[in-house]
This record gives sequence, C-alpha cells and structure tokens, in this order.
Amino acid sequence: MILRSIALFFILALSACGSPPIRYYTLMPTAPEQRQVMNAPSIQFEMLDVRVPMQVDQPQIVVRKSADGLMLLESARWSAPLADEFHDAVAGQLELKLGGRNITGFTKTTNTPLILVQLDIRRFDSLLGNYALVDAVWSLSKHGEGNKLFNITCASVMREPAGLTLDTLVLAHQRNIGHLANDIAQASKTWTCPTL
Amino acid sequence: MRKFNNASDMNLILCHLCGNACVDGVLRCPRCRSTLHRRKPDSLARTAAFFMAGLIFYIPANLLPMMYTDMFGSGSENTILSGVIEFWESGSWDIALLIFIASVLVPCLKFLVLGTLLVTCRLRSRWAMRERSKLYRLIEVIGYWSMLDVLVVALVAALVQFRTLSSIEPREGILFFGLVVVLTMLAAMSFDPRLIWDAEVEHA
Amino acid sequence: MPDHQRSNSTLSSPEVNSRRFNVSIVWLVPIVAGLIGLSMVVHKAMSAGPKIVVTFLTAEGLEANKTQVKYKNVVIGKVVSIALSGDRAHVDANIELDQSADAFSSRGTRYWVVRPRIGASGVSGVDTLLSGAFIGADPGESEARDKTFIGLENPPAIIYGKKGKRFTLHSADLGSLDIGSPVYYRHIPVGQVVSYNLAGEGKGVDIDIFVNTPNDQYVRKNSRFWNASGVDVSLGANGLKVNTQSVASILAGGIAFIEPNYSEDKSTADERSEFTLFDDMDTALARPDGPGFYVQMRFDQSLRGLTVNSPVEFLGVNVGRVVSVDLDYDDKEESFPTIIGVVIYPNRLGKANDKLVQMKGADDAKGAHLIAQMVAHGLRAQARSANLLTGQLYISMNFVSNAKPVVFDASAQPLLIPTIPGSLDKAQEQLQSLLDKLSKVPIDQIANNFNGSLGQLNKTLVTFNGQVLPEMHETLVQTRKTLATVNNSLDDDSPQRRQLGQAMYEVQRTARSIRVLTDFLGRQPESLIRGRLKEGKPDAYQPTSSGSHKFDQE
Repeated sequence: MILRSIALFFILALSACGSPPIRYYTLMPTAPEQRQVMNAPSIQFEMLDVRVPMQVDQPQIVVRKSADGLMLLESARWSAPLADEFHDAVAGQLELKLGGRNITGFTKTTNTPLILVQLDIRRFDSLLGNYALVDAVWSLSKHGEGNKLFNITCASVMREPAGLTLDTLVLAHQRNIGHLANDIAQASKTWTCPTL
Repeated sequence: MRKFNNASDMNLILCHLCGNACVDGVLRCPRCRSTLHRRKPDSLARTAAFFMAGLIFYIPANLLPMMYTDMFGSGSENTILSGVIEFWESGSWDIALLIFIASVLVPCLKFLVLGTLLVTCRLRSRWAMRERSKLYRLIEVIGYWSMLDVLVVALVAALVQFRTLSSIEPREGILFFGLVVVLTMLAAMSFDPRLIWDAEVEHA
Repeated sequence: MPDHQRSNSTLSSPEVNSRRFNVSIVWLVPIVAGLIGLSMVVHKAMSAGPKIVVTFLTAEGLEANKTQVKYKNVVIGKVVSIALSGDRAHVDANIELDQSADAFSSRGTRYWVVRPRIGASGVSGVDTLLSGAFIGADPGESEARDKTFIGLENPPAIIYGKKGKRFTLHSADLGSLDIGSPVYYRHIPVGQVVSYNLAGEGKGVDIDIFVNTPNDQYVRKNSRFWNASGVDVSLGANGLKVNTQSVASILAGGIAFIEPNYSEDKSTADERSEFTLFDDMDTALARPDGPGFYVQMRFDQSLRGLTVNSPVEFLGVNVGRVVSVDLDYDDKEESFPTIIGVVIYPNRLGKANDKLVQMKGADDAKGAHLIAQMVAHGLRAQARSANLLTGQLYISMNFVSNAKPVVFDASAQPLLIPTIPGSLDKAQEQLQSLLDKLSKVPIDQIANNFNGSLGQLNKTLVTFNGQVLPEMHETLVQTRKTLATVNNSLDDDSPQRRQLGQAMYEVQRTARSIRVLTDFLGRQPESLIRGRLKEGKPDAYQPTSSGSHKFDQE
C-alpha cells in the first residue's frame, strides 16, 4: 500500500516535469512560385562554408538584452546551425541573382568561368524592438581553366528594423541576407566593391 | 633541665608496629596485638654483632676479585679498588667515581657512623646528640645505595655474555660485598636511635 | 582508657624467664663471619704451590698478576710480579705455581714465552695476539727442586716428551730449512728439523731431524731424503714441472723421504743413522748411475741454449748429460765448430744394458765396437730444441734413415759421435720448399684469364647501354602518366573527394551536437529531471544597462 502510493507520487511528480514547446526559425525565405532550373548557366559559382561569430553559433536564438548582456532563448531555435542557415540562404539568393547554381562538390564544366565565394560574418546582432544587423566580409575569386583571373575582397553592413517579436526579427535578418546577395552579385559583374 | 617529656615519664610505650601509645605494663598492644618494647630489644648488642660481622666480611670483599672480564680471550679479575683504578685510568672517571662512592665511601661511612653510635651510646655520652641523630638518619638513607655495585655487576654479567668475544662473570668478592651491605643494613635497622637521647634521661 | 584497665585487672602477670647467659643469639653472626674468613685464609695458605723465579731477556708480553703459566693449555701458575734483575740485563718473573704443579719446579724444567711467532714450523701462537702472551712449560725429569730457572727465548723444538728417533742428514747447504721445518713421508708430516750445524771444516751442513713414533718405522736403511722446500719448479728440457709438498713447506722449507721401490730392503734404520740430503726427488730416487762413459760430439752450428747438464737422450731415454761445451777452431775450413763433452751412463738403459752386457761383455773396447756398429746403422747425434720459449736445447741420439756414411774411429779416446744438423735447419728447409711451391704458381695464365674476363665485361656493358636503357626510359614515361592519373583522381570534384568531404561533414555535425548538448546541460542541469524551464517573453533591447546583470534566462 505504501509502496504503491509512493510510486504514484513519483509518477505524478515526474509528469509535472514537462518541457515547454520549442519554436524553430529559419533564414531561408520560401521559394518563389516560379523557380528557374538554369541548366545552361553562363556562370558557375561555388560557395564555401560560412563562418559566424561564436556568440551566436548556438542552436538557440541569441538576442541582445542590453549593452553588456546577451540572452539565449531556449524555446526559440534555428532549424539548422546558424552557419549552415546563413550559407544556404546566401547561396539561394545568389543563384537567383547570378543566374547559376552553387555547384560545390560537383564536377565543373570546362570552358566556363568559376567564381569562388568566401563569406565571413563578423556581426550578427539581434536587438528586439530595434534592429537586426549583419556585418560581413566576403571575397570572390574567378577561376578559368586552372588560372586565377580575378580576386576581390569586400565588406558589407546590412541593417533592417525589427519589432518586438521574434518573427519580425527573423524576417529582418532575411532581408539583410537579400541585400548581401545583391552586393555580391553586383561585385561579381563589375568586379569592384559595391559602395555603401 | 629537660624540655621534652619522655614516654617512660608518662608511663607510655609506643607500639613499634602500629604506633599506638599504650600504657606501660601491658604486654601486647591492644590494637595490633604485637609485643611491646620500650626500646628495640637488644639494640646495642645486635647492632654490635652485625657491625662486627660486616667488618669481618669487608676484608674479603675488598681482597677477593669481584668480577672477571674476558675480552677476546684476555681475561682479568678485578677487585673493587683495582676496578676503580682501571676505570679512572681508562678515562671513564665518572664510573670510577660512582663505584668508589658506592662501594668504598658509603660502606666505610656506615662503619664509622655505626661504630661511633655504638660507642657513644654504650658510654651514655651526651656529646652532639642532635648531630648523632642526623648521622643515623643519614646512614639509614644511604645504606642501600651500596647495593648499586652489586646490581652493576649482576647486570653487566648478565648482559655481556658474548662467548668468545667478551664475557663478564661475577666472582666471590661480590658475594661478600653484598653480605657486607646487608649486614650493615641490619645493623642500622637494629639500632634504636632513642638510645642516643636516653643519655639525657640517665643524667638528669 | 577503659580497655587497658580491664586488661590490667584480668591478666595475671606473665612469667618472665630470663636466660642464664645474657648474651643474645645474634652474636652467632660475627662468629660465623670470623670463622668463614679464617677458613678462607687458611685454605689459601695451604693451597699455595711452589714459588719460582724465571729469568727472561725481556718481559715483552708479560704482565704482573695476569700472565699465566700453561702446560698443555692447562693453567698451572701465574706471574705475580716482574722486576728487573740486579744488573739490569735480565728480567725476573716471580711465578706462583699451583699446588698440583709441583713437578714444574724440578730441575731441568724449561720455560719460554709463547708469543705469536712465524717460525720454521709455521705460524704459532696466534691466539696469543688476542689473549695475551703466556708462559709455556716443559717439566724436567729430575727429582731435585730448583727455585730459579732461565727462560728460553724460543720454544724448544721437541716438547712434551715425544717419542721418536733422531737422524742426521748431510747436505751441501742448509737451503731454506730451519729449526722446525717439517719432515714429510708421502706428504704427511711425520717429524721436524731439530737442529743444524756446519759439518767439520765447514764443507757441508749436518741437519738433525726427529721423526715421531710410530712413523719412525718407515725410515728404512735405504730411504732417500731430499729437500722438498718450497715449490720445485723446473724448466728443463723435459718441460715445466711444478712440485711441492705442502704450503708449510713453501713457507718454511721441508724434507721428504721415501724408500725407492727398486731396492727391497725392509729393515728400519737405527737411531742416529746418517743419510744424504739430495736436492730433489728425482736425484734422490734415481738409481745409482753406475760408471759414466765419456764421449764427444762435434757440431758445426751454433748451440745457443745447450748448457752443462743439458740432458742427452737416446731414443727418448735420458742416458746422460752434457758436461762441457767448448768452441774449437778448424784451420782447414776456417770455422769454429762446437765440441760437446757428454757423459753417458749405460746403466740408465736399464734392461737393454743388462742384455747387452750379458751378450757382449762389459769392457770398454766391446762398448766402442758396439757403438761403431750403431753408427754404421745410422746412429747420429742431433741438437734439438727442447723448449721453443726458452730456446733450450738437448742432445738426441737417434738412428737416422738416410744418413750420410761417416768414418768412425772406434779406438779414439774419447769417442767422437757423428752429428747431423739440428732442427732449426729443418725449419729453414721447410721455408725453402714453401717458396719453391710459390714460384711454381702459373701467374701468367691467371693474368691471361683475367684479361679475357675484362673483355667480356665490356661487351655486357655495351649491350646494356644499347638495349636496356631505352626500355627503362619507356618505363619512366609510363610511370609519369600513371602519376598524372592519380593526380586527377585526387582532384576537387573527384568522387573520392566528395566522399571524404561527406564524412568530414558528418563528423562535424556529430561534434556540434555533442557540444550543444553539453552546453545546454551546463546551463540547466536540472533539466535532466525537471525538463526545460518555461521562460517568459523576451524583453526589448534596452540601450542603457538595467539593474540586473543576469546572463541567462529568468
């Protein structure tokens, strides 16, 4: 009798230990209705792995609380590691803007120039009720037939206003990524750093 | 002119076993039933007898060897005095001094003091009575320290027994010396110091 | 005090018996003590033995009242005091002997100090190093008693009334013998040297030995004595011989004796018999050599290493010795041959000699005739090397098979035995034959052959250059092509690269997950049990820092 009541008590206690649900966010915008296949690209590019600052390289979304504090939100997480999110988001945008696909790891078509994109995120600030900021340093190098033709390294700072909710914050970051992809595509055509 | 009362004046006898002051004339102490004596029985005679026996035995104690020391096969016998001299010459003057005091000085002192006490008490002299009492107390205390020598020989003979390397054996001298010590102790025990003060009583 | 009053009235007065003598029994104690002392004195006085005075040269090792007198290791007395004699030339030791040692005060008793000594008979008295010297005694035989004795400085040789026999040995010199040197029979010490003195006119030494009973029965009339001192190392023509009797004889010298087995004479020698002391066992046991036969030999070579007393052998048996080595001048040939004088003892031939004597008679002429016959058969003398190390030579007489015939004069006095060159020449011969062999080697042919081989080698090299090398070149080109292919397969977009990349990616993800989990547990370890805490809505960013400085969630 006593044993049973103790077991019942423990079961009830454990059941009270429930966890609140987790919400997942992503930086990839939904795909447009018409998606081009781009089988005969004029340009091919490779996007190398993106490096993000360690403070935000967490599964949980990190928001800035005050001048000296950050906050990890346990119930709000990125759906993939932030570096991969960023990489896929930027690559997706670049594909649309450049007209070719990201062919990292595939055999390159000969006689077509190849652009290598290297991206390094220096700041990824998320300030609720204020703004979302991305500060990136990126470099392009054009390859053709094994000889390097062009090299260029630039930096971009993107800032979009954000509301009090996390949805608005994530959408602001998506817009930031769109601006970054614009800058990179422009630089690959003109081969100069875009002016701010 | 007497300052102190004698027990005989007050018809009292002190029981020498339990210290009870009993009335004179009673044979046994009412408390412990031991025989009462005014003075130790035959005190002077016994003291004199033991004293003489001790004196007689003191001669062979000094002449006969006390200890036989065998060091690596070379053995030698030592009397008290030759032992003292050997210790002194070999540098251990502290041992020599100790043995001299314990085996020569103290017995001689005892003989001297006992002899003086015997003679003065027999003569009923009133000379230096307090000092004589002090002397008696002295020899009572130091009496058994002479046994030190006997103990030393016994201990040394028991410990140093390494067969061929070295061995020490006691010899007949130590026996006589032990007897001397015992006899002088008995002599001191038999002497009744109250006899010193009896001279006062007699003369008064 | 009610008690005593009651007892006073109830008790009757006791009866007091007084003794007849007013002497207490305690006086027995000193009486007994006195008796004991007296008895001790009397006993000591009665047990005193005789007192003697022994004079020594020095009191070294003696201590007054400590040094003991011992006989057969039993203490029989003690030195009581030591004093210088009147003229300060001696030391007087006053000794008190035990009562039982009365015999030691008889006239003729000998006293000596036993100290550690290294003497002829070995090291003695070593135990006195530790225990101190003592005085040894040997009682005399006489009945008279003496009070003073003169102590000996050295222990006497024969003590304790040993039984045995004395003998005298004659020798040229004392050698390494000394008083106390042991005498051995079959390596067992049976006696010792007692004394020695120069023989009359100083021409030799007489040595007195004492052999103990019962071994003195082995000294027979024909026993031979020899000096067995030390180690007998003889490096003669026969080789190296080491012979010794015992360690004591190495140290102290010794004499050994044995009866020779070729003469049967079992009678024991008498007391004080005289014998000759030989130098070594071989000379002692040698048969009497008998008459010697003098011959000469003449050698034309250098005889360095041949000395007087070098052995002369005949068919391996030692038959004599060299007695003289002289140089002679030969005018005809203008050379210096060496003339060797040899004494041969025919007796040493043993049975052969006996038979020859039987057959041919025993006179010199017949002997010479016999030798002439042997020379005709090829008897030659030769100087051979006995020992390569020392270079000693010996004379060997052998029958040589192809000896050149010589003229032998059988009537010459002394006989001249013909000789052939020695073994050193043989070595030269061998060297010469080796050189001949060497010269017979066909060096020309070898050189020709070598030349041919070289030409062959040349041809091979030409072929190598012409055919082998181009093929090697082809192979190298092929290798290069293969390397290029390999290079391609390691290219960026090769499938191998892709698979490697995939694997690395997976590893990366796993590590990342682990890191995330550990970070989370670090932040909320209670989440293992309670799960994640519910957090509230996050606040807006405040540019100025608020009161709380919490890092993690509320």
